[in-house]
Amino acid sequence: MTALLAQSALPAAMGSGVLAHYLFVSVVMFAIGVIGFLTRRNLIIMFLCTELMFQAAGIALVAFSRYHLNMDGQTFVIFVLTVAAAEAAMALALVVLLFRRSESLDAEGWSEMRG
Amino acid sequence: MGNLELFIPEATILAGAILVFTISVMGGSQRAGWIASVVMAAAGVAMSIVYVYADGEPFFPGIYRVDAFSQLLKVGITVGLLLTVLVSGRAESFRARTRADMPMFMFFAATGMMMLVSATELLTLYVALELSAYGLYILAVLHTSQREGAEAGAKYVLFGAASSAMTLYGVSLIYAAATTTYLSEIAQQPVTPLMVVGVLLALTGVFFKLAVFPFHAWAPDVYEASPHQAATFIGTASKVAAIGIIIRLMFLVGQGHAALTNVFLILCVASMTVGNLAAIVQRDLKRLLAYSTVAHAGYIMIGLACFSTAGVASAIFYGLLYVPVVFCAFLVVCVLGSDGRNPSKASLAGLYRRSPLLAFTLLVGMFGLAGIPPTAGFAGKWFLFSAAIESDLFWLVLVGALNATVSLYYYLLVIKEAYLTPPVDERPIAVSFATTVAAWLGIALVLFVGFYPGPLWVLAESAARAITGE
Repeated sequence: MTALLAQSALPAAMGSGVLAHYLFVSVVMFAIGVIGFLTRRNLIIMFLCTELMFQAAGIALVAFSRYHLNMDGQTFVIFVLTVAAAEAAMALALVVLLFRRSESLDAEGWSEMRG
Repeated sequence: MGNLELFIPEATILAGAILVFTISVMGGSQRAGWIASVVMAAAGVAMSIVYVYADGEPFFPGIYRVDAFSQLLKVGITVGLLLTVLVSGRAESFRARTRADMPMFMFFAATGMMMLVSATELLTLYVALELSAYGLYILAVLHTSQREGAEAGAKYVLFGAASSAMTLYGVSLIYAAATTTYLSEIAQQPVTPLMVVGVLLALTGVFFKLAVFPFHAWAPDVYEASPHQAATFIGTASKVAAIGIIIRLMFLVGQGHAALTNVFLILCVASMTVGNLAAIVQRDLKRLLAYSTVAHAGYIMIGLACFSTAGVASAIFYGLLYVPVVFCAFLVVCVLGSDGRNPSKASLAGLYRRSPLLAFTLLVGMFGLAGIPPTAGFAGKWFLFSAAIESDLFWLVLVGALNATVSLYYYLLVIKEAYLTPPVDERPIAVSFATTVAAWLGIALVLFVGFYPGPLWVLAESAARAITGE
Protein backbone atom coordinates (compact mmCIF):
# COMPACT_ATOMS: atom_id res chain seq x y z
CA MET A 1 0.00 0.00 0.00
CA THR A 2 2.71 2.47 0.93
CA ALA A 3 4.60 1.54 -2.21
CA LEU A 4 1.51 2.23 -4.31
CA LEU A 5 0.99 5.57 -2.61
CA ALA A 6 4.60 6.47 -3.16
CA GLN A 7 4.24 5.68 -6.85
CA SER A 8 1.11 7.77 -7.25
CA ALA A 9 2.66 10.75 -5.49
CA LEU A 10 4.21 13.47 -7.62
CA PRO A 11 7.69 12.50 -8.86
CA ALA A 12 10.76 14.47 -7.93
CA ALA A 13 11.41 17.64 -9.89
CA MET A 14 13.40 17.39 -13.12
CA GLY A 15 16.74 19.17 -13.21
CA SER A 16 17.14 22.06 -15.63
CA GLY A 17 19.98 20.14 -17.33
CA VAL A 18 17.56 17.36 -18.28
CA LEU A 19 15.03 19.96 -19.40
CA ALA A 20 17.64 21.44 -21.71
CA HIS A 21 18.08 18.06 -23.44
CA TYR A 22 14.38 17.79 -24.15
CA LEU A 23 14.22 21.38 -25.38
CA PHE A 24 17.19 20.80 -27.64
CA VAL A 25 15.41 17.89 -29.33
CA SER A 26 12.25 19.94 -29.58
CA VAL A 27 13.95 22.97 -31.14
CA VAL A 28 15.89 20.82 -33.61
CA MET A 29 12.69 19.06 -34.67
CA PHE A 30 10.89 22.36 -35.08
CA ALA A 31 13.74 23.80 -37.14
CA ILE A 32 13.85 20.71 -39.38
CA GLY A 33 10.10 21.08 -39.84
CA VAL A 34 10.25 24.77 -40.80
CA ILE A 35 13.23 24.37 -43.13
CA GLY A 36 11.74 21.30 -44.76
CA PHE A 37 8.40 23.02 -45.25
CA LEU A 38 10.03 25.95 -46.97
CA THR A 39 12.47 24.05 -49.18
CA ARG A 40 10.77 20.78 -50.20
CA ARG A 41 8.17 20.75 -52.94
CA ASN A 42 6.55 17.33 -52.48
CA LEU A 43 3.16 17.63 -50.81
CA ILE A 44 3.59 14.58 -48.59
CA ILE A 45 7.00 15.74 -47.39
CA MET A 46 5.66 19.25 -46.75
CA PHE A 47 2.85 17.75 -44.74
CA LEU A 48 5.25 15.55 -42.77
CA CYS A 49 7.23 18.66 -41.96
CA THR A 50 4.18 20.34 -40.43
CA GLU A 51 3.66 17.18 -38.37
CA LEU A 52 7.26 17.47 -37.15
CA MET A 53 6.53 21.04 -36.06
CA PHE A 54 3.43 19.89 -34.15
CA GLN A 55 5.28 17.10 -32.38
CA ALA A 56 8.15 19.44 -31.53
CA ALA A 57 5.65 21.69 -29.76
CA GLY A 58 4.24 18.59 -28.06
CA ILE A 59 7.66 17.58 -26.70
CA ALA A 60 8.25 21.09 -25.41
CA LEU A 61 4.86 21.11 -23.68
CA VAL A 62 5.43 17.75 -21.99
CA ALA A 63 8.95 18.67 -20.92
CA PHE A 64 7.90 22.01 -19.41
CA SER A 65 4.94 20.34 -17.77
CA ARG A 66 7.21 17.80 -16.09
CA TYR A 67 9.74 20.46 -15.17
CA HIS A 68 7.17 22.67 -13.44
CA LEU A 69 5.25 19.63 -12.06
CA ASN A 70 2.09 21.16 -13.51
CA MET A 71 -0.07 18.75 -15.49
CA ASP A 72 -1.79 21.34 -17.77
CA GLY A 73 0.90 20.90 -20.40
CA GLN A 74 0.43 17.14 -20.65
CA THR A 75 -3.35 17.54 -20.89
CA PHE A 76 -2.72 20.02 -23.67
CA VAL A 77 -0.70 17.46 -25.63
CA ILE A 78 -3.55 14.91 -25.58
CA PHE A 79 -5.77 17.51 -27.25
CA VAL A 80 -3.03 18.46 -29.70
CA LEU A 81 -2.63 14.82 -30.78
CA THR A 82 -6.37 14.54 -31.43
CA VAL A 83 -6.48 17.76 -33.41
CA ALA A 84 -3.38 16.78 -35.38
CA ALA A 85 -4.99 13.44 -36.26
CA ALA A 86 -8.03 15.24 -37.65
CA GLU A 87 -5.76 17.56 -39.60
CA ALA A 88 -3.80 14.61 -41.01
CA ALA A 89 -7.00 12.91 -42.16
CA MET A 90 -8.11 16.03 -43.99
CA ALA A 91 -4.76 16.85 -45.53
CA LEU A 92 -4.16 13.29 -46.77
CA ALA A 93 -7.67 13.13 -48.26
CA LEU A 94 -6.80 16.30 -50.15
CA VAL A 95 -3.50 14.87 -51.31
CA VAL A 96 -5.28 11.79 -52.68
CA LEU A 97 -7.83 14.01 -54.44
CA LEU A 98 -5.09 16.10 -55.98
CA PHE A 99 -3.06 13.08 -57.05
CA ARG A 100 -6.08 11.53 -58.79
CA ARG A 101 -6.52 14.66 -60.86
CA SER A 102 -3.00 15.58 -61.78
CA GLU A 103 -0.92 12.37 -61.25
CA SER A 104 1.69 14.47 -59.50
CA LEU A 105 2.38 15.72 -56.01
CA ASP A 106 4.91 18.32 -57.05
CA ALA A 107 3.95 21.79 -55.87
CA GLU A 108 6.16 23.28 -58.63
CA GLY A 109 3.77 21.86 -61.19
CA TRP A 110 1.01 24.25 -60.16
CA SER A 111 1.63 26.45 -63.12
CA GLU A 112 -1.44 28.60 -62.76
CA MET A 113 -0.86 29.30 -59.10
CA ARG A 114 1.85 31.77 -58.28
CA GLY A 115 1.68 33.77 -55.04
CA MET B 1 -20.73 26.05 -13.60
CA GLY B 2 -21.50 29.44 -15.03
CA ASN B 3 -24.54 30.83 -16.76
CA LEU B 4 -25.12 28.61 -19.81
CA GLU B 5 -27.60 31.11 -21.25
CA LEU B 6 -24.68 33.26 -22.38
CA PHE B 7 -23.72 30.56 -24.88
CA ILE B 8 -26.97 30.98 -26.85
CA PRO B 9 -25.48 32.92 -29.83
CA GLU B 10 -22.88 30.19 -30.48
CA ALA B 11 -25.42 27.46 -29.76
CA THR B 12 -27.75 28.92 -32.40
CA ILE B 13 -25.05 28.79 -35.06
CA LEU B 14 -24.02 25.28 -33.96
CA ALA B 15 -27.68 24.19 -34.17
CA GLY B 16 -27.74 25.67 -37.68
CA ALA B 17 -24.82 23.45 -38.71
CA ILE B 18 -26.52 20.35 -37.32
CA LEU B 19 -29.85 21.29 -38.92
CA VAL B 20 -28.30 21.76 -42.37
CA PHE B 21 -26.47 18.45 -41.96
CA THR B 22 -29.68 16.66 -40.94
CA ILE B 23 -31.60 18.05 -43.91
CA SER B 24 -28.81 16.96 -46.25
CA VAL B 25 -28.63 13.45 -44.74
CA MET B 26 -32.41 13.00 -44.87
CA GLY B 27 -32.26 13.69 -48.59
CA GLY B 28 -33.80 17.17 -48.47
CA SER B 29 -33.28 19.39 -51.51
CA GLN B 30 -30.45 21.88 -51.68
CA ARG B 31 -33.03 24.67 -51.54
CA ALA B 32 -34.52 23.37 -48.28
CA GLY B 33 -31.06 23.27 -46.72
CA TRP B 34 -30.31 26.76 -47.96
CA ILE B 35 -33.56 28.21 -46.55
CA ALA B 36 -32.81 26.55 -43.21
CA SER B 37 -29.30 28.03 -43.24
CA VAL B 38 -30.61 31.54 -44.00
CA VAL B 39 -33.11 31.27 -41.14
CA MET B 40 -30.51 29.96 -38.70
CA ALA B 41 -27.92 32.56 -39.71
CA ALA B 42 -30.52 35.32 -39.25
CA ALA B 43 -31.39 33.82 -35.84
CA GLY B 44 -27.67 33.83 -35.02
CA VAL B 45 -27.41 37.54 -35.87
CA ALA B 46 -30.51 38.28 -33.78
CA MET B 47 -29.16 36.33 -30.80
CA SER B 48 -25.75 38.01 -31.05
CA ILE B 49 -27.45 41.41 -31.01
CA VAL B 50 -29.68 40.42 -28.07
CA TYR B 51 -26.64 39.32 -26.08
CA VAL B 52 -24.38 42.17 -27.15
CA TYR B 53 -24.33 43.65 -23.63
CA ALA B 54 -24.04 40.25 -21.93
CA ASP B 55 -21.23 39.75 -19.45
CA GLY B 56 -20.14 36.67 -17.56
CA GLU B 57 -18.83 33.14 -17.97
CA PRO B 58 -20.98 30.33 -19.40
CA PHE B 59 -18.64 27.46 -18.42
CA PHE B 60 -15.95 26.73 -15.83
CA PRO B 61 -14.24 29.82 -14.43
CA GLY B 62 -11.49 31.37 -16.49
CA ILE B 63 -11.72 29.49 -19.77
CA TYR B 64 -14.49 31.26 -21.67
CA ARG B 65 -15.28 34.93 -21.22
CA VAL B 66 -18.40 36.63 -22.52
CA ASP B 67 -17.83 40.40 -22.44
CA ALA B 68 -18.35 43.54 -24.50
CA PHE B 69 -15.36 42.61 -26.67
CA SER B 70 -16.35 39.06 -27.56
CA GLN B 71 -20.02 39.87 -28.06
CA LEU B 72 -19.36 42.75 -30.46
CA LEU B 73 -17.04 40.62 -32.59
CA LYS B 74 -19.65 37.83 -32.58
CA VAL B 75 -22.12 40.26 -34.17
CA GLY B 76 -19.55 40.91 -36.92
CA ILE B 77 -18.97 37.19 -37.48
CA THR B 78 -22.66 36.31 -37.66
CA VAL B 79 -23.41 39.24 -39.98
CA GLY B 80 -20.63 38.00 -42.26
CA LEU B 81 -22.13 34.51 -42.14
CA LEU B 82 -25.66 35.76 -42.89
CA LEU B 83 -24.54 37.88 -45.85
CA THR B 84 -22.50 35.00 -47.30
CA VAL B 85 -25.34 32.51 -46.86
CA LEU B 86 -27.75 34.92 -48.58
CA VAL B 87 -25.67 34.90 -51.77
CA SER B 88 -25.10 31.12 -51.78
CA GLY B 89 -28.65 30.23 -52.86
CA ARG B 90 -27.51 28.54 -56.06
CA ALA B 91 -23.80 28.28 -55.30
CA GLU B 92 -22.94 27.47 -58.92
CA SER B 93 -19.20 27.60 -58.31
CA PHE B 94 -19.44 24.66 -55.89
CA ARG B 95 -19.31 21.08 -57.15
CA ALA B 96 -22.91 19.90 -57.62
CA ARG B 97 -22.73 17.07 -55.10
CA THR B 98 -21.42 19.29 -52.33
CA ARG B 99 -23.88 22.19 -52.65
CA ALA B 100 -26.28 20.85 -50.04
CA ASP B 101 -23.56 20.31 -47.41
CA MET B 102 -21.65 23.49 -48.09
CA PRO B 103 -23.49 25.75 -45.56
CA MET B 104 -22.71 23.23 -42.82
CA PHE B 105 -18.99 23.93 -43.10
CA MET B 106 -19.63 27.69 -42.96
CA PHE B 107 -21.68 27.24 -39.78
CA PHE B 108 -19.07 25.03 -38.12
CA ALA B 109 -16.33 27.51 -39.02
CA ALA B 110 -18.48 30.37 -37.69
CA THR B 111 -19.02 28.48 -34.43
CA GLY B 112 -15.27 28.08 -34.10
CA MET B 113 -14.69 31.79 -34.77
CA MET B 114 -17.29 32.82 -32.19
CA MET B 115 -15.69 30.55 -29.59
CA LEU B 116 -12.27 31.86 -30.58
CA VAL B 117 -13.08 35.49 -29.70
CA SER B 118 -14.39 34.38 -26.28
CA ALA B 119 -11.61 31.93 -25.41
CA THR B 120 -9.46 33.06 -22.48
CA GLU B 121 -7.48 29.91 -21.93
CA LEU B 122 -4.72 28.63 -24.20
CA LEU B 123 -6.19 25.16 -24.82
CA THR B 124 -9.70 26.50 -25.52
CA LEU B 125 -8.14 29.08 -27.78
CA TYR B 126 -6.12 26.51 -29.71
CA VAL B 127 -9.02 24.10 -30.23
CA ALA B 128 -11.34 26.93 -31.30
CA LEU B 129 -8.67 28.20 -33.70
CA GLU B 130 -8.49 24.78 -35.36
CA LEU B 131 -12.28 24.40 -35.43
CA SER B 132 -12.63 27.75 -37.18
CA ALA B 133 -9.98 26.81 -39.73
CA TYR B 134 -11.10 23.30 -40.73
CA GLY B 135 -14.44 24.41 -42.14
CA LEU B 136 -12.65 26.97 -44.30
CA TYR B 137 -10.11 24.41 -45.57
CA ILE B 138 -12.89 22.15 -46.81
CA LEU B 139 -14.88 25.03 -48.34
CA ALA B 140 -11.83 26.02 -50.37
CA VAL B 141 -11.65 22.58 -52.04
CA LEU B 142 -15.20 22.41 -53.34
CA HIS B 143 -14.73 24.30 -56.61
CA THR B 144 -16.50 22.87 -59.68
CA SER B 145 -13.22 22.62 -61.49
CA GLN B 146 -11.76 19.93 -59.28
CA ARG B 147 -8.12 20.51 -60.11
CA GLU B 148 -8.17 24.20 -59.28
CA GLY B 149 -10.11 23.63 -56.08
CA ALA B 150 -7.87 20.83 -54.84
CA GLU B 151 -4.76 22.93 -55.43
CA ALA B 152 -6.20 25.87 -53.53
CA GLY B 153 -7.26 23.53 -50.75
CA ALA B 154 -3.88 21.78 -50.53
CA LYS B 155 -2.10 25.12 -50.37
CA TYR B 156 -4.51 26.45 -47.76
CA VAL B 157 -4.31 23.33 -45.56
CA LEU B 158 -0.53 23.14 -45.71
CA PHE B 159 0.02 26.82 -44.93
CA GLY B 160 -2.71 26.67 -42.29
CA ALA B 161 -1.17 23.62 -40.64
CA ALA B 162 2.29 25.22 -40.62
CA SER B 163 0.86 28.42 -39.13
CA SER B 164 -1.06 26.63 -36.41
CA ALA B 165 2.07 24.62 -35.57
CA MET B 166 3.85 27.97 -35.07
CA THR B 167 1.02 29.15 -32.84
CA LEU B 168 1.29 25.91 -30.88
CA TYR B 169 5.02 26.28 -30.39
CA GLY B 170 4.45 29.84 -29.21
CA VAL B 171 1.79 28.57 -26.82
CA SER B 172 4.23 26.02 -25.40
CA LEU B 173 6.73 28.82 -24.70
CA ILE B 174 4.06 31.01 -23.10
CA TYR B 175 3.12 28.03 -20.92
CA ALA B 176 6.78 27.50 -20.05
CA ALA B 177 7.18 31.12 -18.97
CA ALA B 178 3.96 31.36 -16.98
CA THR B 179 3.23 27.75 -15.84
CA THR B 180 -0.45 28.34 -16.42
CA THR B 181 -2.78 28.29 -19.42
CA TYR B 182 -5.23 30.96 -18.21
CA LEU B 183 -4.74 34.23 -20.08
CA SER B 184 -5.78 36.33 -17.06
CA GLU B 185 -3.08 34.70 -14.93
CA ILE B 186 -0.47 34.89 -17.69
CA ALA B 187 -1.07 38.64 -18.03
CA GLN B 188 -0.13 39.12 -14.36
CA GLN B 189 3.20 37.31 -14.67
CA PRO B 190 6.42 39.32 -15.11
CA VAL B 191 7.32 39.75 -18.79
CA THR B 192 10.31 37.53 -19.60
CA PRO B 193 12.07 37.22 -22.96
CA LEU B 194 10.71 33.67 -23.22
CA MET B 195 7.17 35.03 -22.91
CA VAL B 196 7.77 37.70 -25.58
CA VAL B 197 9.16 35.10 -27.99
CA GLY B 198 6.19 32.85 -27.24
CA VAL B 199 3.65 35.60 -27.88
CA LEU B 200 5.45 36.58 -31.11
CA LEU B 201 5.41 32.97 -32.38
CA ALA B 202 1.77 32.56 -31.43
CA LEU B 203 0.91 35.82 -33.21
CA THR B 204 2.81 34.66 -36.32
CA GLY B 205 0.31 31.85 -36.71
CA VAL B 206 -2.61 34.24 -36.43
CA PHE B 207 -1.05 36.71 -38.88
CA PHE B 208 -1.38 33.95 -41.48
CA LYS B 209 -5.13 33.95 -40.92
CA LEU B 210 -5.32 37.72 -41.30
CA ALA B 211 -3.01 37.55 -44.37
CA VAL B 212 -0.48 40.09 -43.07
CA PHE B 213 2.69 40.47 -45.17
CA PRO B 214 4.93 38.34 -45.25
CA PHE B 215 2.45 35.62 -44.27
CA HIS B 216 0.05 36.44 -47.11
CA ALA B 217 1.36 34.10 -49.85
CA TRP B 218 -1.63 31.79 -49.63
CA ALA B 219 -4.28 34.48 -49.91
CA PRO B 220 -4.26 35.36 -53.64
CA ASP B 221 -4.11 31.72 -54.77
CA VAL B 222 -6.76 30.54 -52.34
CA TYR B 223 -9.08 33.44 -53.18
CA GLU B 224 -8.59 32.84 -56.89
CA ALA B 225 -9.14 29.09 -56.90
CA SER B 226 -11.77 28.63 -54.19
CA PRO B 227 -15.51 28.90 -54.86
CA HIS B 228 -16.78 32.50 -54.79
CA GLN B 229 -18.90 32.07 -51.67
CA ALA B 230 -16.04 30.34 -49.86
CA ALA B 231 -13.76 33.28 -50.72
CA THR B 232 -16.47 35.66 -49.51
CA PHE B 233 -16.65 33.87 -46.17
CA ILE B 234 -12.87 33.70 -45.79
CA GLY B 235 -12.62 37.39 -46.68
CA THR B 236 -15.30 38.61 -44.25
CA ALA B 237 -16.04 36.63 -41.08
CA SER B 238 -12.63 35.00 -40.61
CA LYS B 239 -10.86 38.39 -40.56
CA VAL B 240 -12.98 39.56 -37.62
CA ALA B 241 -12.06 36.44 -35.65
CA ALA B 242 -8.36 36.87 -36.48
CA ILE B 243 -8.39 40.48 -35.24
CA GLY B 244 -10.09 39.32 -32.04
CA ILE B 245 -7.46 36.72 -31.28
CA ILE B 246 -4.56 39.05 -32.08
CA ILE B 247 -5.93 41.60 -29.62
CA ARG B 248 -6.32 38.95 -26.89
CA LEU B 249 -2.75 37.68 -27.38
CA MET B 250 -0.90 40.98 -27.80
CA PHE B 251 -1.92 42.30 -24.37
CA LEU B 252 -0.40 39.27 -22.62
CA VAL B 253 2.92 41.10 -22.37
CA GLY B 254 1.55 44.37 -21.03
CA GLN B 255 0.84 47.52 -22.98
CA GLY B 256 3.44 48.01 -25.62
CA HIS B 257 6.55 45.89 -25.14
CA ALA B 258 9.22 47.47 -27.34
CA ALA B 259 9.99 44.33 -29.40
CA LEU B 260 6.33 43.64 -30.05
CA THR B 261 5.59 47.25 -31.01
CA ASN B 262 8.45 47.27 -33.50
CA VAL B 263 7.30 44.03 -35.11
CA PHE B 264 3.77 45.41 -35.41
CA LEU B 265 5.01 48.65 -36.99
CA ILE B 266 7.21 46.85 -39.55
CA LEU B 267 4.48 44.38 -40.54
CA CYS B 268 1.95 47.19 -40.72
CA VAL B 269 3.95 49.32 -43.15
CA ALA B 270 5.09 46.34 -45.24
CA SER B 271 1.61 44.89 -45.45
CA MET B 272 -0.02 48.13 -46.61
CA THR B 273 2.64 48.87 -49.18
CA VAL B 274 3.01 45.38 -50.67
CA GLY B 275 -0.73 44.78 -50.73
CA ASN B 276 -1.52 48.02 -52.54
CA LEU B 277 1.34 47.82 -55.04
CA ALA B 278 0.58 44.19 -55.93
CA ALA B 279 -3.13 44.91 -56.32
CA ILE B 280 -2.49 47.50 -59.05
CA VAL B 281 -1.33 44.93 -61.61
CA GLN B 282 -4.06 42.33 -60.97
CA ARG B 283 -6.66 41.68 -63.65
CA ASP B 284 -8.59 38.94 -61.90
CA LEU B 285 -11.11 40.60 -59.59
CA LYS B 286 -10.68 38.00 -56.84
CA ARG B 287 -6.89 38.32 -56.83
CA LEU B 288 -7.31 42.09 -56.67
CA LEU B 289 -9.55 41.69 -53.63
CA ALA B 290 -7.03 39.29 -52.06
CA TYR B 291 -4.21 41.83 -52.31
CA SER B 292 -6.56 44.53 -51.09
CA THR B 293 -7.15 42.27 -48.06
CA VAL B 294 -3.40 42.25 -47.42
CA ALA B 295 -3.39 46.05 -47.58
CA HIS B 296 -6.36 46.27 -45.23
CA ALA B 297 -4.69 43.93 -42.76
CA GLY B 298 -1.95 46.58 -42.76
CA TYR B 299 -4.44 49.40 -42.04
CA ILE B 300 -5.88 47.39 -39.14
CA MET B 301 -2.35 46.89 -37.80
CA ILE B 302 -2.04 50.71 -37.53
CA GLY B 303 -4.61 50.61 -34.76
CA LEU B 304 -3.07 47.56 -33.11
CA ALA B 305 0.47 48.99 -33.21
CA CYS B 306 -0.71 51.90 -31.03
CA PHE B 307 -1.26 49.51 -28.06
CA SER B 308 -3.82 51.98 -26.67
CA THR B 309 -7.54 51.79 -25.96
CA ALA B 310 -8.29 54.13 -28.85
CA GLY B 311 -6.06 52.08 -31.15
CA VAL B 312 -7.69 48.78 -30.28
CA ALA B 313 -11.14 50.34 -30.55
CA SER B 314 -10.34 51.68 -34.00
CA ALA B 315 -9.00 48.27 -35.10
CA ILE B 316 -12.20 46.58 -33.88
CA PHE B 317 -14.28 49.26 -35.58
CA TYR B 318 -12.41 48.83 -38.86
CA GLY B 319 -12.59 45.03 -38.69
CA LEU B 320 -16.35 45.16 -38.21
CA LEU B 321 -17.10 47.65 -40.97
CA TYR B 322 -14.75 45.78 -43.30
CA VAL B 323 -17.26 42.90 -43.34
CA PRO B 324 -20.10 44.67 -45.22
CA VAL B 325 -17.67 46.77 -47.28
CA VAL B 326 -15.72 43.87 -48.77
CA PHE B 327 -18.90 41.84 -48.98
CA CYS B 328 -20.35 44.39 -51.44
CA ALA B 329 -17.38 43.74 -53.72
CA PHE B 330 -17.59 39.96 -53.33
CA LEU B 331 -21.32 39.95 -54.04
CA VAL B 332 -20.61 41.23 -57.55
CA VAL B 333 -17.99 38.48 -57.97
CA CYS B 334 -20.52 35.85 -56.86
CA VAL B 335 -23.16 37.01 -59.35
CA LEU B 336 -20.86 37.67 -62.32
CA GLY B 337 -18.96 34.42 -61.78
CA SER B 338 -22.08 32.27 -61.67
CA ASP B 339 -20.64 30.10 -64.47
CA GLY B 340 -17.89 29.04 -62.06
CA ARG B 341 -15.18 31.17 -63.66
CA ASN B 342 -13.55 34.17 -62.04
CA PRO B 343 -14.67 37.56 -63.32
CA SER B 344 -11.83 39.73 -64.59
CA LYS B 345 -11.76 43.50 -64.54
CA ALA B 346 -12.64 43.50 -68.25
CA SER B 347 -15.77 41.44 -67.67
CA LEU B 348 -17.15 44.34 -65.63
CA ALA B 349 -17.49 46.42 -68.81
CA GLY B 350 -20.82 48.20 -68.92
CA LEU B 351 -22.07 46.63 -65.72
CA TYR B 352 -24.07 49.80 -65.11
CA ARG B 353 -26.24 49.11 -68.19
CA ARG B 354 -26.57 45.41 -67.50
CA SER B 355 -27.53 45.65 -63.85
CA PRO B 356 -27.69 49.06 -62.12
CA LEU B 357 -28.00 47.43 -58.68
CA LEU B 358 -24.82 45.37 -59.10
CA ALA B 359 -22.93 48.38 -60.38
CA PHE B 360 -24.07 50.45 -57.40
CA THR B 361 -23.13 47.67 -54.97
CA LEU B 362 -19.68 47.52 -56.54
CA LEU B 363 -19.42 51.32 -56.31
CA VAL B 364 -20.26 51.30 -52.60
CA GLY B 365 -17.86 48.44 -51.96
CA MET B 366 -14.95 50.02 -53.81
CA PHE B 367 -15.57 53.48 -52.28
CA GLY B 368 -15.69 51.78 -48.89
CA LEU B 369 -12.40 49.96 -49.48
CA ALA B 370 -10.79 53.16 -50.75
CA GLY B 371 -12.14 55.10 -47.77
CA ILE B 372 -14.16 57.75 -49.62
CA PRO B 373 -16.86 59.56 -47.59
CA PRO B 374 -19.71 59.01 -46.86
CA THR B 375 -18.99 55.28 -46.76
CA ALA B 376 -17.98 53.43 -43.60
CA GLY B 377 -14.43 53.03 -44.92
CA PHE B 378 -13.80 56.76 -44.43
CA ALA B 379 -15.00 56.70 -40.82
CA GLY B 380 -12.85 53.64 -40.16
CA LYS B 381 -9.68 55.19 -41.56
CA TRP B 382 -10.43 58.43 -39.69
CA PHE B 383 -10.51 56.58 -36.35
CA LEU B 384 -7.39 54.53 -37.19
CA PHE B 385 -5.38 57.60 -38.17
CA SER B 386 -6.56 59.68 -35.21
CA ALA B 387 -5.62 56.86 -32.83
CA ALA B 388 -2.15 56.78 -34.40
CA ILE B 389 -1.76 60.56 -34.00
CA GLU B 390 -2.77 60.29 -30.33
CA SER B 391 0.07 57.77 -29.93
CA ASP B 392 2.55 60.16 -31.63
CA LEU B 393 2.90 58.00 -34.72
CA PHE B 394 2.50 60.79 -37.26
CA TRP B 395 4.86 59.15 -39.79
CA LEU B 396 2.63 56.05 -39.75
CA VAL B 397 -0.40 58.18 -40.61
CA LEU B 398 1.57 59.65 -43.49
CA VAL B 399 2.45 56.17 -44.81
CA GLY B 400 -1.17 55.09 -44.39
CA ALA B 401 -2.51 58.15 -46.22
CA LEU B 402 -0.04 57.69 -49.09
CA ASN B 403 -1.11 54.06 -49.37
CA ALA B 404 -4.78 55.02 -49.36
CA THR B 405 -4.04 57.35 -52.29
CA VAL B 406 -2.29 54.59 -54.23
CA SER B 407 -5.18 52.22 -53.57
CA LEU B 408 -7.63 54.81 -54.91
CA TYR B 409 -6.12 54.26 -58.35
CA TYR B 410 -7.03 50.61 -58.75
CA TYR B 411 -10.36 50.86 -56.94
CA LEU B 412 -11.43 53.65 -59.26
CA LEU B 413 -10.25 51.69 -62.33
CA VAL B 414 -12.73 48.98 -61.36
CA ILE B 415 -15.49 51.60 -61.04
CA LYS B 416 -14.51 53.09 -64.40
CA GLU B 417 -14.90 49.68 -66.07
CA ALA B 418 -18.32 49.24 -64.53
CA TYR B 419 -19.69 52.71 -65.27
CA LEU B 420 -17.89 54.22 -68.26
CA THR B 421 -16.77 51.37 -70.56
CA PRO B 422 -19.46 50.33 -73.06
CA PRO B 423 -20.70 46.76 -72.54
CA VAL B 424 -19.49 43.93 -74.79
CA ASP B 425 -22.45 41.80 -73.87
CA GLU B 426 -25.69 43.81 -73.66
CA ARG B 427 -27.82 41.15 -71.95
CA PRO B 428 -29.10 42.24 -68.53
CA ILE B 429 -27.93 40.16 -65.57
CA ALA B 430 -30.59 38.34 -63.56
CA VAL B 431 -30.18 38.90 -59.82
CA SER B 432 -32.12 36.60 -57.49
CA PHE B 433 -34.30 38.00 -54.71
CA ALA B 434 -32.02 36.83 -51.88
CA THR B 435 -28.99 38.38 -53.58
CA THR B 436 -30.90 41.65 -54.00
CA VAL B 437 -31.71 41.61 -50.28
CA ALA B 438 -28.06 40.88 -49.47
CA ALA B 439 -26.93 43.73 -51.74
CA TRP B 440 -29.25 46.27 -50.11
CA LEU B 441 -28.33 44.99 -46.65
CA GLY B 442 -24.63 45.41 -47.41
CA ILE B 443 -25.13 48.87 -48.92
CA ALA B 444 -27.32 49.94 -45.99
CA LEU B 445 -24.74 48.82 -43.42
CA VAL B 446 -21.88 50.55 -45.23
CA LEU B 447 -23.76 53.83 -45.62
CA PHE B 448 -25.31 53.73 -42.13
CA VAL B 449 -21.94 53.31 -40.43
CA GLY B 450 -20.57 55.96 -42.79
CA PHE B 451 -23.20 58.53 -41.80
CA TYR B 452 -23.60 57.55 -38.13
CA PRO B 453 -20.34 56.01 -36.92
CA GLY B 454 -21.23 57.04 -33.34
CA PRO B 455 -23.19 54.02 -32.07
CA LEU B 456 -20.71 51.44 -33.43
CA TRP B 457 -17.76 53.50 -32.18
CA VAL B 458 -19.22 53.58 -28.64
CA LEU B 459 -19.58 49.78 -28.74
CA ALA B 460 -16.05 49.36 -30.12
CA GLU B 461 -14.66 51.62 -27.37
CA SER B 462 -16.35 49.65 -24.60
CA ALA B 463 -15.08 46.45 -26.25
CA ALA B 464 -11.53 47.82 -26.24
CA ARG B 465 -11.88 48.85 -22.61
CA ALA B 466 -12.86 45.28 -21.71
CA ILE B 467 -9.44 44.20 -22.99
CA THR B 468 -7.15 47.02 -21.89
CA GLY B 469 -8.96 47.44 -18.57
CA GLU B 470 -9.00 51.26 -18.65
